[in-house]
Amino acid sequence: MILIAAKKTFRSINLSKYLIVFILIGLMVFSGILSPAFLKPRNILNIFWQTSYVGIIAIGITFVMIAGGIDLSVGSMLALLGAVAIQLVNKFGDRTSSVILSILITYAMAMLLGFGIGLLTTKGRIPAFVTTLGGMAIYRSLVLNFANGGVYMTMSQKYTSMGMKFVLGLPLPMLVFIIYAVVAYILLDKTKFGRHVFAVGANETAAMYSAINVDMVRTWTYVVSGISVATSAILLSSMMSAVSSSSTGNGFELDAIAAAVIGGTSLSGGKGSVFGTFFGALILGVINNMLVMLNVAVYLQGTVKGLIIIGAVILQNLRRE
Amino acid sequence: MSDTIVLSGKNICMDFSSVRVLHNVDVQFQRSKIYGVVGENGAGKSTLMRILSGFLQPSDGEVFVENQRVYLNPIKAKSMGIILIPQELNLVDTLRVYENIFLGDEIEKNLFLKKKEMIEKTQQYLNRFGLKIEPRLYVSELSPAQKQMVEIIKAISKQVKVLIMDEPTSSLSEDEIGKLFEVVRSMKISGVTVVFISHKLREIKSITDDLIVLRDGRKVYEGKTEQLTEKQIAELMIGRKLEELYPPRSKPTEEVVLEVRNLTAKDGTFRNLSFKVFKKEVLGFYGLVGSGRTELMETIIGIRKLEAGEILLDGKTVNINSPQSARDLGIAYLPEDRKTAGIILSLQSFMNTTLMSLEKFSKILLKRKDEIKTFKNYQQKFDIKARTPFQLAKTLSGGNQQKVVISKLVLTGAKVFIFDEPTRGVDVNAKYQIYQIMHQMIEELGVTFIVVSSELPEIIGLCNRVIVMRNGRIVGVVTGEEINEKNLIYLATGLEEGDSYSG
Repeated sequence: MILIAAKKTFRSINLSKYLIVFILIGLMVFSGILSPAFLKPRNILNIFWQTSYVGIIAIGITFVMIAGGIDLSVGSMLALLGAVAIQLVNKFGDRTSSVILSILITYAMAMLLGFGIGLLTTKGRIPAFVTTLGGMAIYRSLVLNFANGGVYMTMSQKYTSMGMKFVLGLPLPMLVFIIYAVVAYILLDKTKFGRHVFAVGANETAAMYSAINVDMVRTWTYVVSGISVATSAILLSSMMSAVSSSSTGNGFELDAIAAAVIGGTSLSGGKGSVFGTFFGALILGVINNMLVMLNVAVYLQGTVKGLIIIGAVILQNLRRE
Repeated sequence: MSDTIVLSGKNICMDFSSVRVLHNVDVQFQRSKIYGVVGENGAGKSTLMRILSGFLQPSDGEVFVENQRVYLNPIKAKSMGIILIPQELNLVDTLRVYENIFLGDEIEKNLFLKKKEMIEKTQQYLNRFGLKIEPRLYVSELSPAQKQMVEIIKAISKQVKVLIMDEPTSSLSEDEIGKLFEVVRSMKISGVTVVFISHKLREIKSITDDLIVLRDGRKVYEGKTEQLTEKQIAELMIGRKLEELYPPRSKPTEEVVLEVRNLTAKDGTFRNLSFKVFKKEVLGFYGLVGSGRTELMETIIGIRKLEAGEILLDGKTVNINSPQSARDLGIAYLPEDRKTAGIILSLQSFMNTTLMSLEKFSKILLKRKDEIKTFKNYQQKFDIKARTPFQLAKTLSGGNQQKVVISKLVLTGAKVFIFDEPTRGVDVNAKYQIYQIMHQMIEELGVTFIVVSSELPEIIGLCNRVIVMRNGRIVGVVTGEEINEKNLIYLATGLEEGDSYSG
């Protein structure tokens, strides 16, 4: 009965699209009441900053998921690409030009990996779950192997100053996250490629009959995911000036998928938005921060997070008639 | 006894988000009778049937089973013997035929399934329909027509008093329809009431005793079927005089637009096919299910691989290896299965229209305004009934969805249109409009049509020339006056004149 009543209310106030924003605001007000320190600008900025890394990856995964795929490899890939970037910088020396070169090579590699996974999935007719699960294991093992289980570090001033940089009073990762979201929104909503992503995920057969190269569209979504991971890897490794072969990026895939799902992206494809994922990621960030501020026992934080994720999706389902 | 009313609805009203779709409808169904329910898409047929079988609760009004007021839900209705076969198939693809037929009613003994008994019973039903399907086959391996038959068997394998069938014949061949009708008639004799929804008025005329016509949610006729002609029924449905359903025939030129030479499929579904299509012609392809018609068309547009042969467009050999190359060469294909291959239900209507021609609206960024303008243009031209261009395609009626798919193809600027079952599951009015659109395109744009259809009247009414296929071969070409039911059926079935044909 409560569900039905809630359903009616949501339908009548037609806030469907902005529901997620209200959820975020609601969570923040709730946290603010429980712990006034939460609403301090410094803390809000921190949340935004910390969310950026997973958020950027989640935006990439949104493309993959709308096209009907999934990418479980992003966490390991983050460690691998971060390690590659650090090793390249160490090799090329502490100059601006060498940092730029390292970044470009990292991006190139990310695109190549994404393209490879995409081709394997589409042309090889292997479920994305399997190819990216394989990628997840392979990337992690490579990073571990070359670092012997240890840490990749860099002393490069030029590289590490990037990750801690503030522009217009805002941390660089946060700015990149926002700009990245805007660009991704345009790509998904305003270009032919974006339209094709939706078509392929919603109805592969009809997309094929509509002269859309289904395999290529899917493959390119993995390239988009790769680019997102590279962006996040560079921001994270430069901020930390190190990549841990065993722990960097652990669990990022789940957080990224959760952010997309909270934002209304369908696990079966054809539905989703960058807008939703952006706020989905922030909701996750707020929850993480809140749990710490409220001194929730570390081992219980997962339970709270899990319940809130499930709750958010139930709300999403309610607003669908 | 036969006058007993088994199921009736009194004053049935139904509102969907405060729009009334059924207005005070009274219906009565008697034992041992076959009823037809007709009406345009959106007239309320399916809604009424879903109310009478418990899938929907009426906003107002009462439902009676054997004169007892009841509040139905699907399970209760089923236990009372009221069974609805919906338009969309409800089979589980990954289960076997017999498992589907007994789904939810498995025969078991001490927690264990009695597979052998279920398989045997399934075999009996299959035999009754003359279906050569192995009960242990997975449903995913069946053709659409076979799936439909399995769905019907599933329904009648239950204790049934009233069987409601929503468009059961739309994917069946003439032969299978004949078998289905035999079974329906024998059910009637054994005391079952059958309610039959169809757009095919010929079938309605041939099988039903009584007829209910709905228009805009109101009952506009109830009475003996035999008192009306097909034309009168159609006029009742649309509420106005019906012009000639088929447009005047086009006048093809001498110019060959598309030619196919010795085409052979890689998977062997057809061999050595050659034919020509002339500019402004409507060339029909007729054949039974499995004759290779659709496979041939899918090869021409590059979805299936060809083993050998040539395709010539305007006299030049072309290489078509993907739907993209077919589109770029100006060949457009309307798939036979609208919902899985034609339209993308979860996309907005205008996005469906522009899907194949997005480069017309963008250099880098899409000009949404232009897209919407284009959609509105087609909306007016083709009379697409959508409230806004943003309406999701799934909320459009079948006929309007089909018109959206056609607008998508027309927008590509194609010269040759291959329409595979263009009016399947579409009501009379939309059918008429689709024929008009085709006619208009031939006259105004000089385009050419290939029409694949299993509906004989459609083939006969539209085509200048008909190619008949059987078992992957062309078995005859019929032209002009020769295009009639008898000739086409003889060719398609391989029977000679004088042989008996049941169907």
